[in-house]
Amino acid sequence: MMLYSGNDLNDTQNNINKRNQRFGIYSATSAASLSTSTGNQHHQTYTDSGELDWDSMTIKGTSTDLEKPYLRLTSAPDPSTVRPEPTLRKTFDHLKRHWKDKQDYTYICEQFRSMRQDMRVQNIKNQFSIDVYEAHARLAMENGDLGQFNQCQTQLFELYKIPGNKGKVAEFFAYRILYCIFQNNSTDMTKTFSELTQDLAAQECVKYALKIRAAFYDNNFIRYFKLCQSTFNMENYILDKISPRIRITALQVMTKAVRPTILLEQITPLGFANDKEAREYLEKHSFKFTDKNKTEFDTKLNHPIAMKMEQPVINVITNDKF
Amino acid sequence: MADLNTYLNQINDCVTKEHGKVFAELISLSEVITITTYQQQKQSFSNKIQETKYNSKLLQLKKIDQIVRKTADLDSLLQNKIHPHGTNETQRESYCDMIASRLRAITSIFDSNYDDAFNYLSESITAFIKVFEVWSSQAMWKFTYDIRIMAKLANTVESAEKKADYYEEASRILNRCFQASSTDRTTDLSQSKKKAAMGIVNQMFHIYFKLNNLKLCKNVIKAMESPLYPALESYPLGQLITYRFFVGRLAAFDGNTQKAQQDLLFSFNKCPSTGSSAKNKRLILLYLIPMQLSLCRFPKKELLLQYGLNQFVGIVEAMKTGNIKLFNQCLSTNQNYFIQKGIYLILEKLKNIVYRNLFKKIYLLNHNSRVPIQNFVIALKWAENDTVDIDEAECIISNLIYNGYIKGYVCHKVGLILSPKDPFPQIWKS
Repeated sequence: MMLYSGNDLNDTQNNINKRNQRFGIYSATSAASLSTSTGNQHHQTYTDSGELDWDSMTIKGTSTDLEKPYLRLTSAPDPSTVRPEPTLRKTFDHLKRHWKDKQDYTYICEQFRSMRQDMRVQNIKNQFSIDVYEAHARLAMENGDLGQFNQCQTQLFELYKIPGNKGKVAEFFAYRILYCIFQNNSTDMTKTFSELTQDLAAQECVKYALKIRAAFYDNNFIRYFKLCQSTFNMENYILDKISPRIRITALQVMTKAVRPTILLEQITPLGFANDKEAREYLEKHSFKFTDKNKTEFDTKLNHPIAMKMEQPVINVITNDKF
Repeated sequence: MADLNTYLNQINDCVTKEHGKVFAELISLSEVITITTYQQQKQSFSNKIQETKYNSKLLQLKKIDQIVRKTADLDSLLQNKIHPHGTNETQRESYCDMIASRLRAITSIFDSNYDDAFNYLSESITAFIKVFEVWSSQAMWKFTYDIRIMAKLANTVESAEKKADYYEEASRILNRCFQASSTDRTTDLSQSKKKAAMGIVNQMFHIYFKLNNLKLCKNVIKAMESPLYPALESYPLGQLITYRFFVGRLAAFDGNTQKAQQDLLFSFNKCPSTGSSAKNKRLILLYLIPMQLSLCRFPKKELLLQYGLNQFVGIVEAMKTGNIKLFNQCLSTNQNYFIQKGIYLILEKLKNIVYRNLFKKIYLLNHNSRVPIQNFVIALKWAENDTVDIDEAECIISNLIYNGYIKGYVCHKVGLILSPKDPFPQIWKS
């Protein structure tokens, strides 16, 4: 964040505007007048964290195009390219059909992002927007796109707060807990925990996610993989991203604490379908077996190998709000 | 009329003399906001001296407010009356705006119109920022404190006009205050407005914690602890206590136990135990205890009871005796309390120590350095979970070995073979 450093080198108009606003040169009224903006104004308001403040620039779109490529907004949007809610509803149906026929995630994802953008600039925060965000969140999860999933999830919990809106709160709260595990972010986890109401805690899928969390933080890999066998909704898609990590830690712990050998059948419970799969995994990571049938390996010998296994990199999620 | 005139003369006088402390008292709304908040929440003062002081201030404000209500044109009245020496015309205008908004804020509070009161206070601060100098730091702190408690008051009341969460609004205003202090380019930090920074930052922390937006705290800390700002120790002690309390809590959330323990211990030791500080001392303890526990420093039961922290008694007992069943029970009975205080996840990590102590007992009963895994399975089945099997018991033991709580190794299906020397090393050394 550049707020306090004051060494902005690129003095673009945006930066100057931003800075003027930062130093209180813009009065509150100039921000209010923007709500009637027709789209070709270049004045923009910013939130304290330096992002564009969309709430102050709400517009009404007029576009009737069903599809629209996603472009990151750098200035106030032009209403003629923004689709109003009736058009967006048609788009949503269109996209659902398209996904069924073509299963083309890259395209679908872009379309969903431009829908989310259109809703955001028009401040559409109703049941329809929840449906769109939930749909995109699920699609993103299914396709391993946890970055987009997280953006949808974050927005969903803002939308759930609005009275009258209904959604799959418990289901997404469970995903959110799992996502915090995936991100390995204890500050976020604390925050998520503080939003855990008794009502939510009583829901089976939330209970399940909490059990997974406890097993993960205790590094109780045996319990973790036992739990993985009985998911509720779409937890699998996030668990699949967590499992490789806990598996590596498990191997590191086991090769250090167990002597003299570990049997292959002790590795299979770490989320492998059978001994064969476990064996292939170990061979891929250059573990050395002690017997011809490859059913046992020496721990002292293999511990350095386990310690060298690299934890998968967690992708840094961008701040892009749409 | 006399009361208002006296008040305005006092303002002129202390601005002329650059008397920060008196100035801060003159612009304070803390008393009226606190009393109103207490009335709203049907709460009473815990401190008699404070109550008397606040009530006399309230009386004074009421008298002034009576006159303000009768005044047709408040702005021109102030224009006539406010002229501190040594200020130019623009500055004088700002002082006028500041006082006018403050007086209107008082009227709004008495009328129970907290939305307006918040906005007037916010305008008052905007005007103040324009004339803010090093000497008026105390007024700055007063304003930042007042806008926070005003936000709290405005948030408690449901109203049709309520546009937003007032904490959000207040955080914006505090940001402007922080910028007003941090944009001082004076290189001599002892003469810089940055000296006011910590008092403002502490209020920002309060609000960011309320808003549950801890990310924002980190940005502020980064600025505060950069060489561009005065050394932390150079700020007033009272502020430093608050500052390190929040920084310590953040470190605790990030799993940085050592740092959290140091910060919180500093705050606890320096915080006075008399008067209204006693409450703060308890609050610090609430976060300090989990840190101490994870370093195996157990508080005395008397201390816990003295501060009304009974929730920890069972936890301490369970840790000392390795009673994992009691430990789990304590965590789940107090789950809501611990979660609400944001320490549940921290306390949960103490489980390793409980396991270690339980396993040490099993080892001692066994009279042998080879302990069958089945012994652990029996204990864990009883204490934790009926589904625990050999694999899971081995998994728990392996983790303890890996993390240095136990010296030895697991031989699959035979047992735990403990090191002949010091099989359960002291935890606080590792």
